[in-house]
Amino acid sequence: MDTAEQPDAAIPSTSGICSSSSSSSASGRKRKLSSDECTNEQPNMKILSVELSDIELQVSLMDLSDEILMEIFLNLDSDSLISLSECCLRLNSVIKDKKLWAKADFSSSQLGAQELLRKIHHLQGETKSLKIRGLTSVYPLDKWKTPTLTANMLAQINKRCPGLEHFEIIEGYMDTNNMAIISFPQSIKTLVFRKCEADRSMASEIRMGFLSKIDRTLQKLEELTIEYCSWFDTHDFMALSKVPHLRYLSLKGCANMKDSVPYASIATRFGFKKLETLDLRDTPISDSDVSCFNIVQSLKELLLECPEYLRTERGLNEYNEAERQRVEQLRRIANQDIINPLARRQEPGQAGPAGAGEGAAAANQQENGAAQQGDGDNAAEPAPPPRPPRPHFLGEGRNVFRFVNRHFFPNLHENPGENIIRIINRAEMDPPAAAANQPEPQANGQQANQDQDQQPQRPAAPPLAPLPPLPADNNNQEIRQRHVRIVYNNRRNIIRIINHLERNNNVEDNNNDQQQQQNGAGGAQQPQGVLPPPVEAAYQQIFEAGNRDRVENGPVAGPAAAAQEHEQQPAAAPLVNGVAAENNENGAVDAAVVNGAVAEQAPAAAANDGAVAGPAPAAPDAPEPPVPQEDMNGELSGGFYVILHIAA
Amino acid sequence: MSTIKLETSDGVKFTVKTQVAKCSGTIRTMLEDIGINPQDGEAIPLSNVHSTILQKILVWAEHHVDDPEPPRDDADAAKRTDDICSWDEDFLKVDQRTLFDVMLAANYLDMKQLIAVCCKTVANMIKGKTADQIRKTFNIENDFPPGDEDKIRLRNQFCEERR
Repeated sequence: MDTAEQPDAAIPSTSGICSSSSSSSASGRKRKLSSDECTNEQPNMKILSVELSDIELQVSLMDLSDEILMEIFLNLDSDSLISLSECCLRLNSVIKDKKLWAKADFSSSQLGAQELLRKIHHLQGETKSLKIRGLTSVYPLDKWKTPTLTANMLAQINKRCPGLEHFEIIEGYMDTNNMAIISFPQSIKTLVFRKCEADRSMASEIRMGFLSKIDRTLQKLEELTIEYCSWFDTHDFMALSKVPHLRYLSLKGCANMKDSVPYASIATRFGFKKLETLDLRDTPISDSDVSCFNIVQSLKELLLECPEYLRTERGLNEYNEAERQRVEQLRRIANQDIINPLARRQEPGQAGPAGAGEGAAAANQQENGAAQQGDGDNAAEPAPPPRPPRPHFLGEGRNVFRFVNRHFFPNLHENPGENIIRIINRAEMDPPAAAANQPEPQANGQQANQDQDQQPQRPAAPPLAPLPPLPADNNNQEIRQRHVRIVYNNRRNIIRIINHLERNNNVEDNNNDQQQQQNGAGGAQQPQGVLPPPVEAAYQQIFEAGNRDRVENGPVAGPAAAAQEHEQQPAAAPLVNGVAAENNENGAVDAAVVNGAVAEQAPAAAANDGAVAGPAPAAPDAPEPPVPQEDMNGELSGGFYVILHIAA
Repeated sequence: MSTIKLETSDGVKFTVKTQVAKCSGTIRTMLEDIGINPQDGEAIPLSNVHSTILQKILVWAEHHVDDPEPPRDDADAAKRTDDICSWDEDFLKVDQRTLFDVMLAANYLDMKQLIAVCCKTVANMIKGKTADQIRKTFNIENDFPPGDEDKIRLRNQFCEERR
């Protein structure tokens, strides 16, 4: 405990003083200075200097002028100030000086709401910055769950410090039943949640409301930091993206950041208009997540770093294994859902496999939170407990772990010994097994719209293929890693991706046969960044609809329905399948994302890297087909480039 | 090297290098603005400073005479108290009485650097203490009316529980 150590450190210097002061007081306190005398320095000094020569006099802190006391107190943290204010009347009044409270910092002690409420009384109108620390670090002691903030307290803070700009909560515990972001003071410009916990006992749907409406409440918010908070979930992107002036967003170490594509792709497309810096370090994100954020035009810095636990071979293997098992488990559950007639009845408006797919999809969203919680905390956890049938996704041979598309950084594998970023290419199913286990493509297609993480859709697979028997077949599935490559970064493990503002949107995707069929030649010429109007509208609608508390339903039903309407082809999930097809054909590009513009990023980057760093070196032991540079390079011109930030 | 004479409250005269003496803003002003001529041999009276304290301060000034002017960054530099250099730390390992006397004298002599170091030292003595501990350390009398004190106790309860 930090605070416990501090006094200890101070003791050596003070102990000598204490002993001497006690001895001198034994010789008698001849003169007692009243506080009035002390404030007036000059006469005091005269008395002192006269008496000093002959009398052993106890000089106290109280002999110093208010001016010097202020000098001293400006060096103190807010907790010490409060202690001082309780010493005597004079100090109490000195401590009330507004200069001392411009930056209130209570982070040296761990506080529950009760204690905090008392301390907040010292805050003043001039307080611009407030830093508090909760009790979560005392875990596993019971009181780690003491709520740090309450709505009442936030109201108090709001009342006392109307000018509060910086609010930092460290190790706080938030009871999201009673409080949400809407209670926070509206004047906040910088908000920091560091290592905070939120109540997890309740259903995830309620929990996710915590950040909703942040755009309406914290209109002035410019910097938001949510670091090492496991409650952050990807649907929160929808709310965050609407904060009008958000310039800096750090989600460092949020274990639930993975699989962000469904929300992040929409959020980045319609929101984050002013976002300049995004910190995604220490999160288990993959290429597709990264490519999502490249669409943010204003983005200047994207910070990426592989999480610690994935940097060792063992940790990586454990993670992969956990993911694989999770995939299998979820697939089993999902398939049960599809064949279960009851599941269909839950969606009365829709019939047939499509409806089932929808049902499974909608259900999966809820599982999402639970499943992620499980392995977010512990990568080695074998599989989520068999909860109610809520599939996470339906994909086949999902990328087990991808960090950054290797085509982003073809020249990175240098400096052996400092393995910082590991890239494991997609683990693919054995083709026969994959074909055998392919769930209904229609459902699959829709699912793709929502979850996006499942790349290897096979458009070539026969639509409405009969469902294979479950789950016996799953055991046959062999996910094998096609290609493992370790990529090194120099020292700081940080890669910065810098966006170029003049992005070339005229990218043609030759692999996107189905889209060509749909839209004709003109459609194929259509820049990928521009979606067909109805789809665009649908997304916009979803984005707007986020004003509801529960954003989650938006991206699930909306795009799927819209997409189907638009394309009228059962097996085609139009926004995805192009990329998915591409994925399957060349087995390299990892960007299966909701919208075309995002999908374009990975190849674009690849092409550019090729241009900047010379031809991308072929993977040393790559047994896979050639990377897509060959076919893509022609059409791509340098809209954006990647800069590796290698610390000198 | 020119020298000047300083006379303390108890009549002791110090002969000091001008450069060292100019560490004090007060003396500097006297010499430069008021035009006291140090060559006259007349001692500058420092009626508020005792000889033992002046001696100590002169030791400090001697050591820091060549220090560069500190950068002016009031806003960010605040609240750091662990940046006292080790020489100063040893220098200020004195009893409280001397410490506060040095502070008062430094204030009178307008020696900002010395005041800052002293303030940090005192701040370190206060940091992390409860009200009671602070009272004990600095021999402060609790002059709250009894009722108020109870109220404050209650407010402070948590802090005291923890320690």
